[in-house]
Amino acid sequence: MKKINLNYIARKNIRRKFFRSMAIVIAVTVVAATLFSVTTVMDSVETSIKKGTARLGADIMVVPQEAEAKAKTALLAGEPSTFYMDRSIEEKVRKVEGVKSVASQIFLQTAKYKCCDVSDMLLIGFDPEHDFTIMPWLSRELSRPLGTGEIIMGRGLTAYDIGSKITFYGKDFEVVGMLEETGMKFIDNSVFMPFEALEKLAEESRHKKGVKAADLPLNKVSTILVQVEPEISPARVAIFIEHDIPGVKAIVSEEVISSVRKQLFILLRSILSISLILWIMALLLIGVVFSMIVNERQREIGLLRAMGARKGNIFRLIMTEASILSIAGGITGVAIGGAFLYAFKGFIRSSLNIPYLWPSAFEMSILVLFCLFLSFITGVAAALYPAIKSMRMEPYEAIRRGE
Amino acid sequence: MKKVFLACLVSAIVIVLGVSLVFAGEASGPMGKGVERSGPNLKGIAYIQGHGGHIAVVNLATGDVKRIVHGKPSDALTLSADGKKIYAFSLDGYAKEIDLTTGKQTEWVKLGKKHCGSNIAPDGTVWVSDMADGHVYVYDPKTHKLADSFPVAKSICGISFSPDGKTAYVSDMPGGFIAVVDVKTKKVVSKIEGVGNFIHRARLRPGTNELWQSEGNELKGGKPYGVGYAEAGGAPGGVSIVDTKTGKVKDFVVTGGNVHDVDFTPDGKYALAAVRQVPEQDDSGIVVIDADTKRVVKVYSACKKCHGAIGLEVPKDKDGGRPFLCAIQVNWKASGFSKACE
Repeated sequence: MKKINLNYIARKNIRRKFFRSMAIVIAVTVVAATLFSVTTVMDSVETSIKKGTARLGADIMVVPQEAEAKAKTALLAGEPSTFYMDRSIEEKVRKVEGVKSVASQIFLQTAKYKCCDVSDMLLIGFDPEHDFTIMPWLSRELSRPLGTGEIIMGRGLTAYDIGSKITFYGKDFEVVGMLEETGMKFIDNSVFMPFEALEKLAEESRHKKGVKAADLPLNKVSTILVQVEPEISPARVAIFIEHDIPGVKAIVSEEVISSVRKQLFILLRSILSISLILWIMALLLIGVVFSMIVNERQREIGLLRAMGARKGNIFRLIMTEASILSIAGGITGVAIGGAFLYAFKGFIRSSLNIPYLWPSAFEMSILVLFCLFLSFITGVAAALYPAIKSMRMEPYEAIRRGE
Repeated sequence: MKKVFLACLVSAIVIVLGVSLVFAGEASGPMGKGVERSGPNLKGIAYIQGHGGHIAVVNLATGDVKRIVHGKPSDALTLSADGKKIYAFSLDGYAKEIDLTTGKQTEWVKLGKKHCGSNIAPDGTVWVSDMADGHVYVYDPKTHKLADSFPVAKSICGISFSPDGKTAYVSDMPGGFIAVVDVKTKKVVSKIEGVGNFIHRARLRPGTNELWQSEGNELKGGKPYGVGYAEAGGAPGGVSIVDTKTGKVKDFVVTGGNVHDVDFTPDGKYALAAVRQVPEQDDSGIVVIDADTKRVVKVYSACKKCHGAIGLEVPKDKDGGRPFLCAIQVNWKASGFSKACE
């Protein structure tokens, strides 16, 4: 004879009222799918920004005052743009209180002129001697200094790998290093080379026939990246820089992250509000359905009690049903949400126009667990009152009223 | 005949009483005849920051009121050391300089988030408190730029410096404590707790260790309540007197209304408290306190006198329709209104 336990009865009950059970599963699925998608997108952007700014290695980015918006667009949306300030500012920044180290960069936008040139990319000239932003993040360590015909590329330029040849302004370069992917186009879609190499490229382009001359000003830099002393906040050092050096804007990395977070929250606020409404609706729906279930099953509950089932058993029976349905809904929701994100990854990345990097396996598992837990809580919370009500039923009264 | 004589006598008494009452009313000040007569003869020009986008300017010798319009609702102001400029700091975090000699004003410059109090630091910069993020923002009048910023508490307002310039006393409004800050390191070294319920600006009484801390007491149900004392239903406002040597509150002067700032005569004999909603007057004004006897000796109208005269109404949705004043500073060397006033 088959042994009957609470799980068995719960499963039987679910199967018996299949469509009603499915309605509950669908309600939880919608909530879980929406929540999973939104939280994953938010986490992806935040991870990407954090990783990107950490890879940038700088606490502060000093740019010309009038180029603040351009610099932020370049940093966040990866749109290649150029702006310049006097190179002597680097020395002034170095002397500001709280500054630990500085590294300058100069930007040059590529222009398609010849057949084999690559256009619309940002060429970034840097000083390998003082650099703390590029060389430490190479996917494979480079044990020798960078030559003038050699470059480092971001991981976003998937057509190239170490050893590939690429032409800018009519000059050939060899890729000798690739950076790890950050999700920030500014890093992923840029090409890095020493200052001297970029200056030589510009100089040579002026004398080559059929090549557009590179418009690179002399003794200028585009940005000065700053690392601050550990005992002082970057925000304070940024104030010192702006106070001591006229005409510059000091952008604090942390502030960029927080502004993106705010921007993203505004963007996803409506979806979050809908998720909240859906969650409340799911709670009400499950609550109403379980109240109906308890009313319908008064006789069954009465008989179970008369056969020796304790109050706790009845409570556990209802809660088991609710848990099975809500977890099933949660798993389906996470799967649908994940599939949606995967299918529309490219679209989300392009429409948000901010850094986007798929979360790591660990972060993804945390998000999945969070959504499953929330789904479970939804079912359990909604079924709590009906479960308590069923538990309190007197056996005789329940059998009589159920007939 | 007797009846006619009695009627004339009664009429004469009534007329005499009536006339004397009318003249008595004209002669008495806002707090009544007694207070006005016994009050000191102060000479100086008081500048009081206001929520209406202008500074109320009171000639303490005559009681006349004028204003300097700067355009932004503000709480904080500080006079330059030479008394020729006013540094104004707005409630949306901007700074402006007003030249009192020429009347010229600089453009508003972004500094912090929501400024409450300010004071000139020993190095000549202006420390400006921020009630939104609890930071002190250091304004450099030489470069007209932000020079530094550092955290002190949650929602700060008053800033005072010790005579030796080594210590700053920064009041935390809802916390009701004063943070003692080392001026050199810009770090909080200690706290003076239990100074009040909802405190604003403070100032050291000249020649003493007494820090006079304005206590607005604008509370309703234990929470800060922004409209006047009349609606607040809380305890009357006043001034907490803190002994900076012992770090303890030694006295409390009840003035009524919401006290928001205090300034002193150069000899420290009188304190001038900027009070919102002076009791029974439906006005904001300057309440003069004898610093030794702790008695209110005189009251100046700072808002109604002017608002009433030009018929300028404050919208009902702003501060309950009342003109509100905040920081006060007196130029004791000035004797008349400057060019900047209108």
